[in-house]
Amino acid sequence: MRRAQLPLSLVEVALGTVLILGVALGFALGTPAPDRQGPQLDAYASDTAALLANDPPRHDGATRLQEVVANPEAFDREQDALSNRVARILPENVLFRVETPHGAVGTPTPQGVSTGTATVPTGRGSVRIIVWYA
Amino acid sequence: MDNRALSTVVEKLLSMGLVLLYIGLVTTTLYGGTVPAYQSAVGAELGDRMLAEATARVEQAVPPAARAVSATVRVSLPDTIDGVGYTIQTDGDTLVLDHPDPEIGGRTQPLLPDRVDTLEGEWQSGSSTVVVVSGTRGSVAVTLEAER
Amino acid sequence: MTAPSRRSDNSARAQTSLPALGIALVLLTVVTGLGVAMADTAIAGADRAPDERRVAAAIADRLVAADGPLAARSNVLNKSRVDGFDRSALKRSAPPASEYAVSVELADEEIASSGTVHSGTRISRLVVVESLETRTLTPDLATTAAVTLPRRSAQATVTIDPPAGTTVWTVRANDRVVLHNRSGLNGSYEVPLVPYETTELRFQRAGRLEPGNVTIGYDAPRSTKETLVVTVDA
Repeated sequence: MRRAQLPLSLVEVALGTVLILGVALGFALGTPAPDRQGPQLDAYASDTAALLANDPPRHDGATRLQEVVANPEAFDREQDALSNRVARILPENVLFRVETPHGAVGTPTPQGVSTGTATVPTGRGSVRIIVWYA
Repeated sequence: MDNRALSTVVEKLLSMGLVLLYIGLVTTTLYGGTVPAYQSAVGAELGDRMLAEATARVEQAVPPAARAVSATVRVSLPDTIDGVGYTIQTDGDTLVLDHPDPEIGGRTQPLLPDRVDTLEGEWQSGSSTVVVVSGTRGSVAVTLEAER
Repeated sequence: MTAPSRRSDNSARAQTSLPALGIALVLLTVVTGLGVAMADTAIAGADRAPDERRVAAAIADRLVAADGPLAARSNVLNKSRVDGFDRSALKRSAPPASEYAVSVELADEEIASSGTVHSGTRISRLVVVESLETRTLTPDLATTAAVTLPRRSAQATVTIDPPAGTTVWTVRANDRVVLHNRSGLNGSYEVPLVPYETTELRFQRAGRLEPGNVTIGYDAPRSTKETLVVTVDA
């Protein structure tokens, strides 16, 4: 009786082909794109710091930043104005968080998102500005 | 001849021989021509990127203007490119990547403020390297050195 | 009775798996070739000018820095310098602009470029453009001896024109003596002030002062928030 055979080596090669192509395509398509946003976000953060350091204060102090870190009462008084000011400085698709020794202003930083940071040393502690794309 | 009992053995032997021959052929072709070409291309790409990053670090190392400035910034360079060590030298106001492979190399010009009037020194790969900035308000010198 | 499968009847079937092996090897070669071609495409498509990003970031840093060609202070650009910025100024302050095509835009308007830019790396910086204006204040010093400047300023120009019989000896800015002359001040003087505090000018005099005898000119800059965009195409 003639029974056709399936040549097993063809099946093996088909499996091998699939495996090799799978690995190659995995490399070609699967590696995550490098993070290109870091330098731009860092630039936004340090620009925000420079502009805040340039702003005159609303009541008392040398600059707006100094006024905010002066004491906890001043921080409570100024935090809304600070939040509005930073929101006006930054473009619309950028979220921020400003951390001062007396508290923080802005939206909480999400995990796993590339951020840019700038730290401004003032006489009474340092202010950290964190920005990320929405 | 009716040696059917041997036909499978012969068949497997022939198959294995054929496969080994094939593997040898493919390996020789790849390692003889394709792979070194790719290594060289990747090395050139890596050299370009590394030089751009080192230049950016040199630019960022210059502090703002002040009566006396002094800064030392550590710059980490990969130990080898394409398996061979290299050097980064200065030529006037450009940084030059010097590598034995003629395809790998490059020149960049760091964008330094006007008060920087000297750029000198050399970096050897494999040692921990720093860029040293020192000077006064009007004259600042940037030097590439090995960390001491 | 069924015959055993493989080694049976037809001896011409002795090495039938060899052609199958041959086809298999051919297929494997094809797959290897595909893999090599993909690697080739990846290498050829790789970013050929990593320097482009570096140059964009460096030029943006230069233009925004306090000792750069455009800025009066860090991130504060001077409007007259911005208006006078052109291609040659760009090439002078950023030598790589001669090799790459660089375009500098402020408030969506191109202020300088060294070539047409099609694609490439963009860096945006947030700046404030300041145009210097001076305002003049003519205080009425008949009743008071002090006048507070409404804005913080880095300097003021005090013009004193006393009538006959009146002498102004000293001018103080926040208890700091800035002008002093025993025989009387007369004329226009530049007075440096501290821009981080509100200044009160106090005049020490003998005699009456009419309105108009003293005029004070101070800096009242107008600033607008803009975005500076640097695009570099290698």
